[in-house]
Amino acid sequence: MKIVVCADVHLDSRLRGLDAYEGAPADAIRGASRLALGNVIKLAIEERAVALLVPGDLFDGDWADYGTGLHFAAEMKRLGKAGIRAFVAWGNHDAESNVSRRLAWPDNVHVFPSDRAATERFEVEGLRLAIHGRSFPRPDVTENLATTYPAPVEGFLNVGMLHTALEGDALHARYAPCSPAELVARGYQGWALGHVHQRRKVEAACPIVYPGNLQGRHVRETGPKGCAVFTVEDRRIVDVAFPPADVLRWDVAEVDVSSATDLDAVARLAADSVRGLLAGADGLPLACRVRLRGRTELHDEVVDRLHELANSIRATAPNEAWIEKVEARTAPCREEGTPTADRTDALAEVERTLREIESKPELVAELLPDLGKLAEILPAELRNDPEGPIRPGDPDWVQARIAEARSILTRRLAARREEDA
Amino acid sequence: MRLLELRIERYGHFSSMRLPLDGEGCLLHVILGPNEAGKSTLLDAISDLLFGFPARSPYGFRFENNLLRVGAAMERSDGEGLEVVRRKGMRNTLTTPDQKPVDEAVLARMLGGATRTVFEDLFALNEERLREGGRNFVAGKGNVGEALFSASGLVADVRKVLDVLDAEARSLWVPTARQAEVPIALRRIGELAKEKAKAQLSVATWQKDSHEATRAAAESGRAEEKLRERRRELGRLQRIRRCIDTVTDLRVCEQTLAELEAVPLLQEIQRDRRVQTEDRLRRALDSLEKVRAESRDTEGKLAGLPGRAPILDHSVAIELLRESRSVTRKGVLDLPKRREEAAACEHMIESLATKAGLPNLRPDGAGLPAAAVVESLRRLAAQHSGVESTWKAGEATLRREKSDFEEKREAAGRPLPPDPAPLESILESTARSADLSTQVEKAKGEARDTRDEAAVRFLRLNPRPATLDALRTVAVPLDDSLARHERTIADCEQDVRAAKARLDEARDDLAARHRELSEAEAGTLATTEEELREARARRADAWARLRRDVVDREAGPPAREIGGPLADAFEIHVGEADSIADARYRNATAIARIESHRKEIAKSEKAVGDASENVRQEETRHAAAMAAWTEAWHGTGIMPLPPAEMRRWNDERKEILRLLDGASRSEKIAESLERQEATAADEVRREMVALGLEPPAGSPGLATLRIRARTSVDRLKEERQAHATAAQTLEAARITLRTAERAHEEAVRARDEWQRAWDAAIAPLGRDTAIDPTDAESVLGPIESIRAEVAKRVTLVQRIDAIGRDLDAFGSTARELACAVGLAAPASEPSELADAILRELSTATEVERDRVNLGEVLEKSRKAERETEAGIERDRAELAGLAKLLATDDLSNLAAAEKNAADKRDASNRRKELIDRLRAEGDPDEIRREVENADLDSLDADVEGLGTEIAALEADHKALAEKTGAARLQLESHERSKGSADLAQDEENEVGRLRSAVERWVRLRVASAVLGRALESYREKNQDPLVSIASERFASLTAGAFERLATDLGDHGPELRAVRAREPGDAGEPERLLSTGLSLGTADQLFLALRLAAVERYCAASEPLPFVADDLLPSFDDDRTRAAIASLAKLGETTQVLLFTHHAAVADLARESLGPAVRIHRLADLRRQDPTTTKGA
Repeated sequence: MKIVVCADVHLDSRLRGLDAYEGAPADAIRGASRLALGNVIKLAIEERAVALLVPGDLFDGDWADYGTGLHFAAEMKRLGKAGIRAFVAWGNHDAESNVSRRLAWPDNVHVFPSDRAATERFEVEGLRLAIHGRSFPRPDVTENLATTYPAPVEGFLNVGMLHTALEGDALHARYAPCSPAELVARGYQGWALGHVHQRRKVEAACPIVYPGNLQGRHVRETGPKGCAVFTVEDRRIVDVAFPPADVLRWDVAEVDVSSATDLDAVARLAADSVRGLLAGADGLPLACRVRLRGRTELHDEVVDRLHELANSIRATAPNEAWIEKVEARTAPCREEGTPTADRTDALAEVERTLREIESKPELVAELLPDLGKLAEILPAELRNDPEGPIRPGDPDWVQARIAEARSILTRRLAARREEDA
Repeated sequence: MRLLELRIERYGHFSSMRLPLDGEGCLLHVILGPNEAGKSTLLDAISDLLFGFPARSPYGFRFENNLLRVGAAMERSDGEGLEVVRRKGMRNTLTTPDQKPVDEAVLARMLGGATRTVFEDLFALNEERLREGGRNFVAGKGNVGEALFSASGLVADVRKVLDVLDAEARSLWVPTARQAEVPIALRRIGELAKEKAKAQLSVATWQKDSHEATRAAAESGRAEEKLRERRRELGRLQRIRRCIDTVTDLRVCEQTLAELEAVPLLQEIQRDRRVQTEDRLRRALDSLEKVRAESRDTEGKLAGLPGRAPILDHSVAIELLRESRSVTRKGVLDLPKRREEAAACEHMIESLATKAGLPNLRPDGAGLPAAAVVESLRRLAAQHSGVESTWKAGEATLRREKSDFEEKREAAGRPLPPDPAPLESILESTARSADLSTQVEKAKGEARDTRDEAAVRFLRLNPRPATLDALRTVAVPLDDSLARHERTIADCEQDVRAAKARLDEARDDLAARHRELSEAEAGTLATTEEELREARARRADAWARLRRDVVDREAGPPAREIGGPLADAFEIHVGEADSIADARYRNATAIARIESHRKEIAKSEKAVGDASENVRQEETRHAAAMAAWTEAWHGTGIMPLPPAEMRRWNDERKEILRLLDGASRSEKIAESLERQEATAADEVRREMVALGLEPPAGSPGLATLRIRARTSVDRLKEERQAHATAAQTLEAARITLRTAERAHEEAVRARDEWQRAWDAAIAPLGRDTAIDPTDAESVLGPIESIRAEVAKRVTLVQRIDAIGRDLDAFGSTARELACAVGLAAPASEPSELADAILRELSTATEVERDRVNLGEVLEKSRKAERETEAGIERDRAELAGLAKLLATDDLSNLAAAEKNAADKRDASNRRKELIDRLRAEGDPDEIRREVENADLDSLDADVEGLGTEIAALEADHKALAEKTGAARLQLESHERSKGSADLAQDEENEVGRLRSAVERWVRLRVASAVLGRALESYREKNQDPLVSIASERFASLTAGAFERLATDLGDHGPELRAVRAREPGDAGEPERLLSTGLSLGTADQLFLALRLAAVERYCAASEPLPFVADDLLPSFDDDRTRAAIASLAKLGETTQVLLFTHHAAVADLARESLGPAVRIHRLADLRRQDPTTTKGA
């Protein structure tokens, strides 16, 4: 007997960071979160699951489109026709205060209240189940909700649902923090958790499981994504599996280009690497960041012609792969020393200028008066992005731009020698 | 650094060539050679010598790449000399002439840290680059920064680089462009946002559509119900109309049934039965008559047949006689043949007996040896060859095993080699020491590398003590002290900057006040208080004079000259004073502001003064701090750089010392490891001797010793193993020998037993037992054949006897039967008698058969007669029964009775059919009631009316159903729709495209801005010194056509102008030409002047390198060539200058201009030194 858990669906949310270049497999990513949810529903039906648990962040926030809710309702009807019940608890993204619109969900859907932890009991095929859960009333729930959960129901398989960042997880916002020991102390046979997007089975006396998010949404969410399936025997969870349900795989191709002799070779190496990742993507299309590494004579050219190189990689890589971005993390073969004060040549002056700006990042805004004007006309999401394209106040950003400028100028100023050669 | 001699061993087509470049007082070396003689090759050779060969050298065409060699003797500006040879290779490519490795750092120090780029692009210049520089200068329209930047040699056409960067950036974004990538992406994002907003499903839309679907469904339901009701009514009326005739028929039918109520209800089949029975009865009566006549006819025939013959009683015996006759006939025919065969058998027996050595054998086979004896002999003969071969094989095996055993016994008797275990143990214990050599090498290598790195870092260190050791002993101030000085100086610098900033601020403020005052004054009449005071004074003077002259009439000189008639003057002065006063009154506010400005200016001037004083004080403080800083380094012999740089210097010094310490540690480790290795080697050597092994001669390393020892140990172990194996093999051979002996004994015994059996078996033949068993078959075969012939003869004799007996029996039987049947027994052959008896029996048998047939026919007739009579009785009884059912006794009136019954039956069936028909329409009773109650006259009209009404209702319902369906579809499409999610994703992707474009714009713009700033900074730092030097060189290069260079402020910053020399007597301003006004030749000279200036400036700051002018002057006329040679010679005072040329005239002009200060080197002469070339290769 199976119980399917899927969390952090973020239905209808966008896949981030993809650059709409010509020939990109845009169709492959449309409606990815819906298709992934559809895969979970199909899996639940095929596995003849008794319940689907959704511990938070089903929605990404308030619905931009009423169709988002309608789609979920339609999928739940499909689940209902197969006799499967669904249990939903809202998380920080779809907290009650965050989502202003709601639908009357189909009868097989039970939504847990936000003012208290509640228990829903039912019996199916001789198994008596008690699902305990609680929704977020607002996004910023920082109190420990686990301690408010009721005692287990005797003679039932008790499963808790909670949207939480477990203690010790520094990578995620501390919503409804609690410890594995506190969860185990409730005496349930298992816990289905949401919020952490990485699938994970917490080491504890009973199964405590993060199924991870359903579909990777940006390049930091790589690898297979999907749901968790509890196998239940004799009122015990005897196995936890993590079948993938995603429709698009994210990955990063780390490509050592130190052996390449020209940009075509770099593109070929990158395309081969992407091809390898695609082969391991379970037949799914791939959104891939290409990270070029290695110490190479081509460093300056790679940096200067990065856009052109990216297009070349995109043209060479398989059509099923979306090259999200090409990053130049290469290093030059030259030794970059500080030019001595007595050097009077022009290149030394260029280097001194680069270092001057590095030491005074505020000079960038002064040297580029148009920078502010361009920033003003950008969409808010780029303007306010902590990793946005214009951040003159960020020393790291300035440092990176100076490094790029060094490569661009080194290459272009040496262009005449190359042409002569 | 200057080259004293260039030595090209193998490079390009050069070999063993020496170019002497020393010479006291030489300012210019001219290397003269025709085109393609190798002048450019020399330049590349110098470059490869100084900075190493590139991975792919184009000069490996005559000699293999690994044979390429270039060497030189050189001298640093401080007099330090170096001789090196460079070979092409991967590492350690720099050596002394006697091939000892030379550290690259040593050469780097000679070059003052210059790179290949510096040498090739600053210190090498050919005509092509000269012209390109000139053209770029013209294209740059005299921009000083660009000109200096490009002339520095290290940078290509900087303007072009800047233009390309800016053009690329503009293709992405400029505020006004609409077709750049960024605005296009922004527009697309905007469009997608609008499309997304349109595609979004709002709550209101969903609710409206949902409500619409519900309402349409309700309306459709109501219309459907009404339509259903109307259709029901129409169906009812149509049913009435369909059932009117049926109901009428039913009524008639029921009336008929009522009339025939008394008539019995019979099935139709009963009438058929009656007809069939009457017909069958008639046919039975006719048949009975016929059968009876046939019976009488048969009885008559039987009566006419004769009685039964007596011969029929002997029919069985007669049949046996017939069979005997057939057998005896066959035996009589067979008898002669059988007798011949018996005689042939006897002859064959006789012949075979002779062959088998049994001459007296009788034809019946008496005395023939038994079959068992023959079989036994055959078996033994078959065994004979096996027994013999086994015996022979045993003999051979025994001989072979004995020989093998003897060999192995000899092998096992050799002495056991010594046990190498002790040596092996030592090898194991020294295993860890095995790679000591590697570790030693590694440690030494690390020490060497570390020292090299320290040396290189030391050479790069600036300022630098005299030696590396001095670096350790130099008394560097303590870190705390350094930090304190740094802080103090930094604070001072900060304070100076702050004071200067305040001063600038105060000056700016003062300037602003002045501007404000000017602006205020510009908008106001010049009516200062002073002017008013002066006007009033003039008026008072005029009044005093007027009063004195007119009112008081006092004589006396006027207080001041006011001009004009007194009254007029007074009036004028009054008016003037009034108008000034009025103006001041009118402009009181402005005047007050001006006053205020003036006060502010006074304050600002004071602030400027204060700030200047403050700056001076801070600068004094800073100077004191710097002096203290310099003092802190007093005694170290080092002139300190600014504190931050000295902090880095000190870090670097510590790092160098750390590296040196590391190198020492590595060296100690190497020594310790070497000692360990020697000890281990002694141990191994001692144990080898102990084992009787001979250690390798000389002092091989531990690794070599261990390999030899390991080989010896392995060999000893193999020998010991071989000894043990030989003992085991001997034992195995002994066992094998015993087995062979046993097998041989067994074979001998089997052979003896066989011989005994053979002798016993052959005895019954009575022949000689020495018969070869392989020939036994020549005797045993005939014996077997005799046995078969004897058996065959016995069978033939028995057959002949049987035929005789059969003939006798047949004759006596025939005679006995003839007597029995009453035939006379003639003396004829028994076979003729038998034929007569058989004919008599045949006649009697035919008569008897006719009798039996007629009897059977009669019996059949009588049986048919009885059966026909019984059928007649049954038919008559059935007809009587039918009459009873029809309630009549008269069998002849049965047909009429039957018709009444049929009428009733038809009416009943009809009624049932009609009711069934009504039931097909519904409840028959209800239908009858409906029909009976219906108004039949209006029925058609009602049906037609209802049809019309239903058609209208159906149209309405269809429309409503379509509406409902559409509403439902709309809802379903909402549920299925992807909504705006895809558009949102497209929008996100466009944002990604925008991000990429912005990132590219930023990087291009940053690069452009950096280059622009560097350009400006370079200009600021170098403009004056470079232009100053270049100005002199330019005047010289143009042979006085231009007197100097000047920088003027143009629209786009400082511009470099060439100032034309004034003609004698020309007193006007000299012409100042912008680059665009120069000829290309002059532009080239200007570029050369700038380049020479850049080289001089470099040499003034860093270690000089040789300047190589490669065919630089072919387009120069003689005057300008002379001028260029003079300029190069001038540079020769600073650094070594090599001029490559293919024009002998250039060499002549150089000699003419410079005399002994030039050295001419003819490449042809130099190449003649090349032995390969001399041989005409």
